[in-house]
Amino acid sequence: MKKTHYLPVLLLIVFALFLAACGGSTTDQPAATTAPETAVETAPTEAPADAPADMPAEGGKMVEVFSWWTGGGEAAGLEAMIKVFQEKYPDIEFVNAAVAGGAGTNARAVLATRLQAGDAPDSWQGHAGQELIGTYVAAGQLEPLNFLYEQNGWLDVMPATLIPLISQDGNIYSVPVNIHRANVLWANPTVLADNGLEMPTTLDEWFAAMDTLQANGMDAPLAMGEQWTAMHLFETIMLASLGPDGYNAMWDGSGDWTSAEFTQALDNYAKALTYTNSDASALSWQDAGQLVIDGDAAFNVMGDWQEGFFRELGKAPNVDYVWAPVPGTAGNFQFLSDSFVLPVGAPHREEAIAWLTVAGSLEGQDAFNPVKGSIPARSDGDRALYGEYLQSAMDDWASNTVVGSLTHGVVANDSWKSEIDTALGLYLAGGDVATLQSALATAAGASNQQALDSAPAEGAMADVSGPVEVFSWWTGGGEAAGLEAMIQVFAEKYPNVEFQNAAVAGGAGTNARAVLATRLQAGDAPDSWQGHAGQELIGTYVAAGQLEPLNFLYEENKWLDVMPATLIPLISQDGNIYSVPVNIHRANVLWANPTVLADNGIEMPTTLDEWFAAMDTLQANGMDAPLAMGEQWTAMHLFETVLLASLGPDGYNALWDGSGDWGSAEVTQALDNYAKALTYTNSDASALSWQDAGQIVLDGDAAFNVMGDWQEGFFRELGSVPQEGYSWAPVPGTAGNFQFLSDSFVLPMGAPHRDAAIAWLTVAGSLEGQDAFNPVKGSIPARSDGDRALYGEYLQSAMDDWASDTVVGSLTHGVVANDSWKSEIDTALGLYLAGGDVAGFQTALVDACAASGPCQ
Amino acid sequence: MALKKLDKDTIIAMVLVSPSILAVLIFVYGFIAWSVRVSLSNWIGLLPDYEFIGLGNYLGLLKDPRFHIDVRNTLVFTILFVGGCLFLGVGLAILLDQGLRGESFFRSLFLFPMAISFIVTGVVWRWLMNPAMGSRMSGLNLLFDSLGLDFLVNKWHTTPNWGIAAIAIPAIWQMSGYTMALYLGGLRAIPESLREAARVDGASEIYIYRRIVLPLLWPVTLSAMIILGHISLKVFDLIIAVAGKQVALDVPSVYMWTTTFDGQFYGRGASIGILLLLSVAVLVIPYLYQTLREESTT
Repeated sequence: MKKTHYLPVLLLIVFALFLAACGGSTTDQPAATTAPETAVETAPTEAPADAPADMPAEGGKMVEVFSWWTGGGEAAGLEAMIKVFQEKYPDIEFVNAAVAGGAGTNARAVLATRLQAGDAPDSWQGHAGQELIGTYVAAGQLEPLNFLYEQNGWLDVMPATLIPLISQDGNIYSVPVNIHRANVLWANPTVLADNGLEMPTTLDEWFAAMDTLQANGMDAPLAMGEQWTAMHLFETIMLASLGPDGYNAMWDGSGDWTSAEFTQALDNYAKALTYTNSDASALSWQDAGQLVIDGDAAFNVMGDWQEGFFRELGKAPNVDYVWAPVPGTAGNFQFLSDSFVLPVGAPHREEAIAWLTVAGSLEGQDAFNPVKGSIPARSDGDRALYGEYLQSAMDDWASNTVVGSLTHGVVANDSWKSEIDTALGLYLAGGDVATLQSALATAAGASNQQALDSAPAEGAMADVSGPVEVFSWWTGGGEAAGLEAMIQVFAEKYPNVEFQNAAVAGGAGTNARAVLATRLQAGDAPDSWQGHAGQELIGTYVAAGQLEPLNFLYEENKWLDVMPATLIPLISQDGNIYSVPVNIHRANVLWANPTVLADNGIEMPTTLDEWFAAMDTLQANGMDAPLAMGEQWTAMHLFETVLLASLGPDGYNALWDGSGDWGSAEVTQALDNYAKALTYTNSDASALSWQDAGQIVLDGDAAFNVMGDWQEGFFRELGSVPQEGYSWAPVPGTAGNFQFLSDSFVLPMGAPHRDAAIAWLTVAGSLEGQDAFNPVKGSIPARSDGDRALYGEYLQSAMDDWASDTVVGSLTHGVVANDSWKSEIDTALGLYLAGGDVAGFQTALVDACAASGPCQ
Repeated sequence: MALKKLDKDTIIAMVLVSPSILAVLIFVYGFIAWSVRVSLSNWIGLLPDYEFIGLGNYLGLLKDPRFHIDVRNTLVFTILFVGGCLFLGVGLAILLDQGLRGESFFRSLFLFPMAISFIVTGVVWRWLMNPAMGSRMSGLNLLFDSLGLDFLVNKWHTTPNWGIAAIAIPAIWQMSGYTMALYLGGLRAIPESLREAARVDGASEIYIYRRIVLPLLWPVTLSAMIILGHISLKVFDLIIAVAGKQVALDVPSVYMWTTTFDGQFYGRGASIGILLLLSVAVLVIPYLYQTLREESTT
């Protein structure tokens, strides 16, 4: 029998070994975990082991940039830009990871391999537009760069029509460094003059001119090269035939590839092809250009790199060659662009951002482009640096409508483009226009279907259908009723979406957050969830790469105009807004019993000193504990308001963003103030809830209570009347500041029903949704245009303050500090309340900021 | 000890038992192993981070003033709770053992609190032990005050440094009936002949209890200490119900919970959990070992 004692032990050991083996393998298995791990290791100090071998010994700052610019003007341009970068950031080593060959094909294959191995460079080159978006954004590899555009004011210097072409769902994903124009018609001026021809401006003029040339004995007046140049011609004629709106419609899914207009465009293309040389497929684009220079052909349609080739041959503009927009496309700039991106989890994110900042800067672009022979993406480039053709292109770039090139990856993703290429190839090999059109329509249908499956177009919001699962901890009272009211608004607007209310009760959200963490760790995210706006969300879910930025929603719905400007930074990280706040509560409210104040001849205090003096008077008059407080979290609530009162909004904010010093004398003064405030509190505080503390004020056993404005809901529930049973003011010393907290909803990465989730967020941020929710919950809307008539006396005063005050965040309620930091502060505060001294408290706060906050 | 033959019955029995063995292996020992792994990692935040940092979390706890409070509170609570239960339990058992009328009524009465969960006990005792003074006085303090027992009025669990002692009161109230039942069983197992013999020898009743009954109850005391001891080490719900989350009345299980789920220090939380497991194991393993040995010899 004795043996049986060892059996479980043996089994345990075997099992433990087995498990350890499994545990070891899980660390490098799921892709989801690798990204955040590398993100954590971004800080160079933390990850010396992770740094590549070629990392410089000193400093340790580097940025690895991947491109296919290995020769000619491209490599020289890159070198020029690297020089600008190194002047600006001398301590960052630039690692040029350029891969030669295949006009980028090799480089892209190498890049794909590296990305699959989790070994992303810090930034890489790619054609702006769908080639990047369809490949890397669809795979969740790229960070949106809206924050960089905002910080650097790039939106003001880049054409407005460019931005949608390099964005997806309102997020901008790349920094274009150069611009090439695709729709240029190159011509031989001598040939034109000899045949008495003007440069044509419409397709008909062009065809007529070529008819004349053919009649004069020039068999092939239009020089063309291999198949991709045929696609290049195709896209320009498509633009000429359909106009910019019609052309764009074909690519965003709203156009009809079977329409008569498109048939007309294909007929034009077919006609243009009749003027081309029969040996086209054997020629490169340079060969085709050479034909024009030599006078063997009159015209060639090619991108403006053709000019670089002409200059290389020693030809002079307007003498040996002339140019114009492809007939029928004047006023339109069909562009392509090389751009750089920021991968999710870049090994050296800060340095990569520095590189992108240079790549988008005037200095960087004016260093690169004159050498490469392209124009800057910015419209404020220095004209003097560029040649005659490029100057004309710069003028057009600044003033024209910008449309994207198909051949060069702007408007269609790789798979769609390859299907079009196949269809065109079949047509060139002897097909007819009708077959080409139906093949193109099929390709567009398949591609749009694919797009619908992965990320549905935003245009179709009202027809959104299917379920949306929204997770919250609103299960009772005004919260649940408010949620119901908002769900009703949602159901009216989106009748086809089934709302699944995944609320979890208990623990003021603690239970719900534990359930949510489990679900997220299991990869079973709901479509949207509730969270306290600010660092509680950002520090937890954004840090773990779980949330999509919502800037696009804010822009589409113009929420930035109706939400206080000081709110936005508090709910953003690196310029990306990550949540939609539905309600606002104020934390810095002093509740008072007006009768007690009147009986003791006390006015509502407005400074900390007045407040302390008033409480001294009350104590002298026999009220032992004039300030009612409850359990430990309400002590933290008091702490944050006294901190704000002592330091002011700037000093208070500085503590949270890392620029302030927790060890400073000002903080010591604030802690002394807090210690003094605590001397006025009731000795049984830790045994009381916040409601108990409020009750004490109502009963006249205490004069004051500091609590968020949900206290007013409790007072009203008890049947007390504002200004009679209770009065309020900002916590002394915090007038003009609105210390807020907010419940908000988010959009997870890979939401199972993304479009329905966006529909929910749209309602949550709408005036209608917020005015349905907040009067019931007893909070004010995050929008400043709420209907005042719906709200009570206190809430109206809060709405006024919200619209005009400086907004700062609450600590206790998750706005300014992430969970880890907050729990460390909670421990420090608890130890202080359990009998510590102010000096020890301050030391613990300094340590907490260093350990879990931004202080290093 | 006959060797087991692998007959049909044995095979069927093993097949029937294997699911539960497997479940225990995975859900108990597997998760213990996983917790150990997490406790050796630097996991902070939502997603797992298994970077191995050795005993870093444990060394951090050794220096953590909050964990010092936890250990001290647990020790104070355990000593008072186990001691109080043993003292009251043996006392009640001896009283009930006197053969008074309605013994079964009192036995049930004292045992009933055990049927209540710690949460309910905690909520009721939080009201009873209301520390408010002056006009807001209520609960036991109000009772003492109106009975003129002013010296008994106190701040209960809000007493600085020793608040944890007040929490032991409801715990003792709840578990002393159970301890009584254990002792009563032990008392009934002592042969009356032993007492008779002592009386014949002229021993007083007190002497009989001191020298004969209590020594014979030692195995019961050991069992009770172990059962109560591990309850005490793991105490969580009672603390939450009476005191909420405040550092002054913190115990390891509360710290484990808040630091893991509020603070997202998963590594630190796991190491607290492992320390709790070890402290309970120190109590339970010798006991199990002894019990198993006794069973195998009888």
